[in-house]
Amino acid sequence: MSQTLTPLRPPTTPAARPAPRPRRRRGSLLGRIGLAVAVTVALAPALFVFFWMLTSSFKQQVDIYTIPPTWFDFTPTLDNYREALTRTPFGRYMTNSLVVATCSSLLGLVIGVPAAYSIARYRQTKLSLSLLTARLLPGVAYLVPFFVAFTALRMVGTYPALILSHVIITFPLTVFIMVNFFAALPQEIYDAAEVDGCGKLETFARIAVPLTRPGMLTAGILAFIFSWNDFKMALILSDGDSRTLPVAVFNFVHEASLDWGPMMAYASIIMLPVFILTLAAQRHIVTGMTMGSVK
Amino acid sequence: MAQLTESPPPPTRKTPAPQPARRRLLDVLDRYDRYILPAPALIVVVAMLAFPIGYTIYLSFHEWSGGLRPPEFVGLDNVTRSLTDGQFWGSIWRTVYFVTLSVGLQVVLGVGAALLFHQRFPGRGMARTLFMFPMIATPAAVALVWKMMFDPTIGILNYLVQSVGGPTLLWVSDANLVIPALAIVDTWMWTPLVMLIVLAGLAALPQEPFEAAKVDGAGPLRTFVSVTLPLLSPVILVAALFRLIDAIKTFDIIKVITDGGPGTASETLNLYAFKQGLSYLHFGYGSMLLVWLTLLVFVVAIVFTRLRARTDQG
Repeated sequence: MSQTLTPLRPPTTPAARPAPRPRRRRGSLLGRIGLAVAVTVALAPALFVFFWMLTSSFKQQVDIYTIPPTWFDFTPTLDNYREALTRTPFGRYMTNSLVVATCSSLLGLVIGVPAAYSIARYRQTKLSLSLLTARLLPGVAYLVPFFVAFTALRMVGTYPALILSHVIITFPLTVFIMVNFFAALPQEIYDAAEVDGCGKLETFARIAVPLTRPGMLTAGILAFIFSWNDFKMALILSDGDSRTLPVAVFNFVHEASLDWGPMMAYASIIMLPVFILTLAAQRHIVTGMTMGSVK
Repeated sequence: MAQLTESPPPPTRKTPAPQPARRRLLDVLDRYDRYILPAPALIVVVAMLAFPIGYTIYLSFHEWSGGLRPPEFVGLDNVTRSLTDGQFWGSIWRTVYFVTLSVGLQVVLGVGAALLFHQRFPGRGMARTLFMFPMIATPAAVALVWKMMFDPTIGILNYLVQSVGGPTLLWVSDANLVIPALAIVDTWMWTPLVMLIVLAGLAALPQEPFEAAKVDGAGPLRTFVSVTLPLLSPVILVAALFRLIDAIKTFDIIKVITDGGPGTASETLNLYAFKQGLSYLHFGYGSMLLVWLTLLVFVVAIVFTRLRARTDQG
């Protein structure tokens, strides 16, 4: 047991060393070195996996299979990327992922934004409570009914089936993020709108929506990431040509047995947009991760 | 449309005429805005809550493998079958083992990381973002990287273990090691979430108790145990709750790395239900297992919510 846990041990160090919270502005030199070491130790496992993925994706097979492993002293190659992009219809899978993630996050906004406004303004706790309850349901519990329903409608393997199933990922996420934004709008804005004779729906469309555009961007980005990352819905509801990237890379394992290089190239390409988008939406990631994910 | 015909616009004045009609329509709609705005959401909620729950419960009383034949009603057969199914109980035990191990680790490491990232240091924002990457990365893809690292011969993990004098481990190919190994992956992915939740809690802590502790001459360790930890416990409970709910339902990493193997050594309840329902297409029994899984999640959620309510009062 203890051996299996060793890779994760390091970050406990900061826990053992409690926060000297209300401390002097700048700690002693020793304290600062300790802090730097602790931060490095905490970040190392988090980043190592990505480092290993990325470097392996540029390694020739010989270098991947070498023990002791090669760290930096290998001749980089793009063969794995060539292999990953040509062995499977990568372009099509990429398009599938893009279409499904874009459409489902937009649909999530269209359905979620008015609901979030209504929840925030009229304290519709029952609605938000039912969304919280939905949050508890296992994703697999959706899959059987969805699979049966979409099979009956002959929709398995089509964009609409994937997009609709992803709305259960993107829509609650949008609501939970947008409720915060709408709740943060000061009451005076609504009062002023009423005084000016602005109708209620107009207030929503012409005042509240434009004011919360940054929130919608954030919600949209996070919804896109969640849909992009989804594996289980697409595993069941897509087939052949309609596969999204996570399913494509999973199937690649079976087709390519243990050809790690191209697989790491595949994995790197899939994650690249996610990381770029994360940097854009990081402030609301906690809400997204806690309230929005369907597991 | 009815309103439009009531006030036919004089053909000469084109623009102002539709205005009152539209106004009136809007006024009518405005009266119901609190129902109109969430209406699409309500439809989705029914589709995503009532339909799956209802249909899953319905199927759990039936025997069905799809096709043209309608589901056959079998009463409580699936309940009794599950209660006497060794694989079901085994999967529950593995779920509990996996969840306890991974959430336990995540909470401890997450609190530690939160205390660390709460400190002021140059580049803190960037460090926090980098620390978050594991949980935002595509799980299926990241699971493949771990699968490669777990490889007993060419995997980097065995190289690292051996270089400090450890034995050659089979990791996810070892029936006794597979759950801890998967718990490591889950911990790697989700410690950042615990960290972020606790970090938010740390930022909201009142300063007075810390000043009081300082006046009383409490050292850093004493302050942490007697002041920080009790004040943080509601937040830690929330983080643990979210992680428990999701860890029970862990799917992607297990499916990709082991698919429940070796044998059934990492087959959690979710994996078993998936296998029954969607691989073997035993919709009835699979649904029964999903009912149990859902109940398990709800029980955990309720217990933890109660627990939290108690810490809030105390």
